[in-house]
Amino acid sequence: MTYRIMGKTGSLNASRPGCFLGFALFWIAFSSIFVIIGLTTKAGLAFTIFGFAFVGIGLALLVYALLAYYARFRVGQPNFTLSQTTLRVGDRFTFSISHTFPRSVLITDIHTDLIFRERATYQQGTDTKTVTYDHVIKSYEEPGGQFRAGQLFAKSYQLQIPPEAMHTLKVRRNELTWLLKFQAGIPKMPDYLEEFELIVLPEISQ
Amino acid sequence: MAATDFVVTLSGGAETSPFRTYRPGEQLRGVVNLFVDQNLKCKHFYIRLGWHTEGRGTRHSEKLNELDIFQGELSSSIPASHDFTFYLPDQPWSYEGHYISIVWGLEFEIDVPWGKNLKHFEPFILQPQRQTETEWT
Repeated sequence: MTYRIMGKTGSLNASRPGCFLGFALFWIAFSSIFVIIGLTTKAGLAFTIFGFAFVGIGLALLVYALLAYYARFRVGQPNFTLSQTTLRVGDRFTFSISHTFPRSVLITDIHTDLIFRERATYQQGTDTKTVTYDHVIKSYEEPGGQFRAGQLFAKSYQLQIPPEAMHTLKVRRNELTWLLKFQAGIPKMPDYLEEFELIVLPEISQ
Repeated sequence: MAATDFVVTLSGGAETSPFRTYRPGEQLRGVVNLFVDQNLKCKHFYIRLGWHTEGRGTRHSEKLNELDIFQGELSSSIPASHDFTFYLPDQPWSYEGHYISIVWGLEFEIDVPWGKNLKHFEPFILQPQRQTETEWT
């Protein structure tokens, strides 16, 4: 995903289905071992069925990841412009989206949210668990519809980090982050989703 | 085992509920009075400035400054009184959220030889001057 910040172009750590796809392939490969063992040895029918069930879960994950890729293919690659990504508490900034749809696509709704996210990781027995809580600071919703190939979608939003807000903080297993989330709903497919991280410094805007 | 009362009086900053509030870069001054129920040998008496996380995430703590202000005998008949001063850093600000809280404070620790150390934690709030002084969660 590309973005432009004050005339520069770079890449963003946007949410991508690639990790999901990789995980699904790993899951299928790993659970296939049990199926092979079940089919080639005298492990028993129950063992083989158990292995097939896990392969089935992997296939479901794989289908979901491929659908997410397909959703991105249908929508294309919008241009996102942020007036700045490093901000102070209380700063105002502009987030713009401009997109020419490469192919016809039906979109149910388009959301742009400014989010303050708490992400906490902890140990529970032998498991490492992560919980996330999103404070939605500002939300914009645009109506969806049938977008034709070549149709332009352009929006610009004025946003502000609230003057009484917290700054970005990332320490071991505890993260407080600011995000811009862009989401477009497509019927019967995973949503098109992009998240942009904003760095909010521990300074007050003058 | 010896019991100790740590009576901490902070000055500077602003009186707010439930804890005193300081601004980043401000000077934090205070006095600690120690009341011990029996004579106690003190290897070190530390005062530490730091912060830690609370909530669902694994606790993370950072110590920013440490004063070793006393070594010797603490008497049960005469309370010991010690002044201390710290300069506060710019960040992180105090925060209370859904899963994570950032808690600033002073940790008082008496290092007792061959015994359990005696500890006390005195929290305070580190917040910048804002345009609106409302609490944000």
